[in-house]
Order: sequence, then structure tokens, then C-alpha cells
Amino acid sequence: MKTAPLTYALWLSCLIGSLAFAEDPTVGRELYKVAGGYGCGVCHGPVANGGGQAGGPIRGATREQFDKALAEQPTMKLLVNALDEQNLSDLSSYLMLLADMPLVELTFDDVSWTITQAPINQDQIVQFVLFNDGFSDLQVDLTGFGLDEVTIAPMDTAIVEWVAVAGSYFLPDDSLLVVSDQAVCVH
Amino acid sequence: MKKLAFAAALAFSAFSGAALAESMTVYKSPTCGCCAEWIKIMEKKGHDVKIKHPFNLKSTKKDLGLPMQLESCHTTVIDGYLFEGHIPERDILAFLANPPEGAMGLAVPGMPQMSPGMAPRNKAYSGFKVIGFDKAGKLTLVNQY
Repeated sequence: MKTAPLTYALWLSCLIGSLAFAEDPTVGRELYKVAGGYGCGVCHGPVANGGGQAGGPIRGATREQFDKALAEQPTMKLLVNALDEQNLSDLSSYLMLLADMPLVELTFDDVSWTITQAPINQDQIVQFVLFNDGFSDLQVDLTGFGLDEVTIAPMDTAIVEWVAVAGSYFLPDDSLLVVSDQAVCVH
Repeated sequence: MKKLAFAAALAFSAFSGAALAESMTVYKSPTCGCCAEWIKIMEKKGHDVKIKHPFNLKSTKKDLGLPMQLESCHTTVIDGYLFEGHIPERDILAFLANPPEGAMGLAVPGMPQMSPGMAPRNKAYSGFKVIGFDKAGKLTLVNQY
């Protein structure tokens, strides 16, 4: 029984240790929305996809690239004191997580679609970024993917995630999205 | 008489110049560099800018009534109207000279590379929309660069 407090202390220190040093992409995702007061998305797009903004895409940016940006880029330099070591690790792990999620970007401007898609393999989690660049509500039918129809307000963006199943699918502009039946090895 | 008319015209232009200067409050984050660049442009044009750094910028924007999909970095309040982000001065003045019925303000969402405060000096603004929003939540295209 004498060892109990020690065991407890060890357990506690491990817990604190893991809390202090673990990288948590889910914490990073929330931080991405609010860092600096405005959030990273204002300059880098809602899911680090760029979204046509000045900061460009940063999906898959390494911690090294992140540190370099904070040291060298005028806009990023101002954020140095707003982000501590834990924040940087969490944000970094979120950006690495996004790197494994193929992006399909669909923009509608009241007249036509602009669609870009990355190669997709079976079982990957795909992120659809649907941007309504027009001035009326936009309804997008994703039932072909087994997803609900989404309605997007003018100038708003919807992010929809989908676990890829091998096959061919029609996109809203009648182009095809093809999911390869080859599984990818992640890291 | 000609001289007098000329003097009157001068006096009028001086007066109208003063009337164009606006008093504005800008809500921003202390970490925002491009906000400061936009403010510099406004000050150079002769406007009186008060800067506020709210603890929670996002909730300030929501409380002011900004449609959040139009979010940029800084939010400016002039005469009770909202001006979100890197809006060119001329669009703000045109709006204030004749605010549409029910209008709440203007926005340039996000961070367009070639907008005021973002673009290098003496470069033409391009690649963004100025969007109007009203109390009913309706968005309209006001200008396009």
C-alpha cells in the first residue's frame, strides 16, 4: 500500500506529460478557426485549402515550414507571441492530418461551376469544399455519394467529408470523380 | 464679382473636402499587420481612425451583425454602418453618400492579395468583390475589381 501514492504520482506525471507534449489535431482544428483573433482561414481558406486568399494553401505544411514562416514572413511574424509551443504542435498536426485528405473544391458563381479535384483512393477521407460565389442560395445534390443535399447561403462555404468508395461519380457540372480501388498507405 | 464667385467656390471645395472626412472605429487583432496597412491608407486620406482590440474579435463581429461568411480581419464602424475587411476607400465613400434602404454595410471577405492594405503601393486593385449586406440578410454585388 505504501507504493500507492508513488504509483499515483507516476500516473499523474505521465498524464500531465502526455497532456503537455501530445499533438492534438482536433485541438489544432479549433485553434485554426480562431488563432490571432481572426483565425488562419481568413488568409489560408477554411480548411487550409487556400480558397483564393493571399496566404495560399498550407495543407501538409511541416512544422519546419511553419517555424520558417513565423520567423520570416511579415504577416506571420506578428503571430509569434500569440502562439505557444503547444499551439504550434497542435496546429501542425492538424495541417498534417489534412494532407492525407484529398480535396475536391467546387465553386458556383450563379452561372457555372469551377471544380478542381485531387486523385482519390479507396477509403481516404475526401473533403468537399463547396463555395457559393453567387448571390442566391445554392442547393447541391450529393446523394450520389450517399450524402445529404446541402444548401449554402450566398458567399458561404460548406465543408463536407466523405469516406471514398471505389467507383465513378458525377459531380454537379457532370464531370466525373473517379475513386481508385487501390488503397493508399498513410505514412 | 468674378473674384467673389471664385472665392466662394474655393471656400465650398474646402468645406466639402472636410465633410468627406469620416470618423471611424476599427475593431482588429493586435497581431494583424494588413489591418494596420489599411488603416494607414484611411488616415492618409484624412479620416479619423480609432482602433479597438476586443478580447474576442469573432464575437464582436457577430454582435455587430456581420454575416459571418463575409468575415475578413478588421471590422470598421462608420455612422452605425459596418465595413468588413479590405474595402477601397472610394466604395465606402460612395456607400455613405447614398446608403441603400435597409443597408447594413459592405464587405470584402477574406484576404484578397490585390486589395487596399494588401496590394503593393501604386498597384491596381483586382481579383475581389465588394459585397453589400442588409438587415434582411440579403447580399448584393456592389463592385468588382
